[in-house]
Amino acid sequence: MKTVVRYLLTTALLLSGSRAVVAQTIKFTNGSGGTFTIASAVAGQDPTSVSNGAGNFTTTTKNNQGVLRIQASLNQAMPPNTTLTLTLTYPTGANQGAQVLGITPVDMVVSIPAFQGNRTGTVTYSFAATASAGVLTPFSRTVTLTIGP
Amino acid sequence: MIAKYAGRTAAVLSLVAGLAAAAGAQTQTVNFEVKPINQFSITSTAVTLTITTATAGSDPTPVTDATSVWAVTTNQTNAKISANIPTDMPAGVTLGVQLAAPAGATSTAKNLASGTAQDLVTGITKVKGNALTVTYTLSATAAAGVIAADSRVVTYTMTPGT
Repeated sequence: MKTVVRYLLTTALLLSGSRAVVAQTIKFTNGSGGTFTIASAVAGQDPTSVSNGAGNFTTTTKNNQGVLRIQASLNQAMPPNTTLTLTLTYPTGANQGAQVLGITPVDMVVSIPAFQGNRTGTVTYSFAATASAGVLTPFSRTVTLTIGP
Repeated sequence: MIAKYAGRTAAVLSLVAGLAAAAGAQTQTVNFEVKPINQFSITSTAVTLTITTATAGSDPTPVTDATSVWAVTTNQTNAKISANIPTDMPAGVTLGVQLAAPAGATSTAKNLASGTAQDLVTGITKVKGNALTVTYTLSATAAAGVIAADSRVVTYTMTPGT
């Protein structure tokens, strides 16, 4: 009986913790980040970069979560001599502007004040490659956006 | 006994606190491709070369023009630039051309002729080059005589690498 009580207590606490995990969320509101194909250049210049407005994202936060920030990272480094740059717009906080993405999370928006509700921002990617990057067959990367303390 | 439960409870609460601080996350897949790119350009549309002097005892003095520039971008390996003219130069007259090479490539001065294009720059590999000099040289022997104004269109061709 004591054991059962202990497990119930532990379970209750963990469930409480689980609710805390989802208290702040960030979601892309479109499924795909898009496809970027570099296929042209001006003679004497590096290949022409390509970019698009991939869509929107939405954050859900609560008043009691303090100051937050949004970070972005890749699951794997980009090939040599190529870069993926991400630009977010967001209605509050200090926007860090265009950031080159890598496996180490980079700040995109910081000093986001406490807020109860949803906010929406926009996502724009830019893909660049130098001539020395060579020809690259199709590949993909996973971009992760996080919102947290 | 109380201490035992207190310890476990503290451990669980610590875990909960850690989870509460975790960030919300979302992923998105982005797809990429870089296709073969081979681009080159030459800025000048016309060059005039006039031979007017000689050193006594020698053929007329060749003249050169290096006012044109060219540019190239390739993301492939061993691309090349070649050139030819539609009809041969008059007897005793040669039109030479040399293109400055971008980094890592090889430049060779060639006299132009009709037919098979002459390779001017080879080994152009994953590089961009800008404002590279184009040098034309017109030579004539004394036996060529006086030649009225004439012209040739030089056709440059870039052959992609692999």
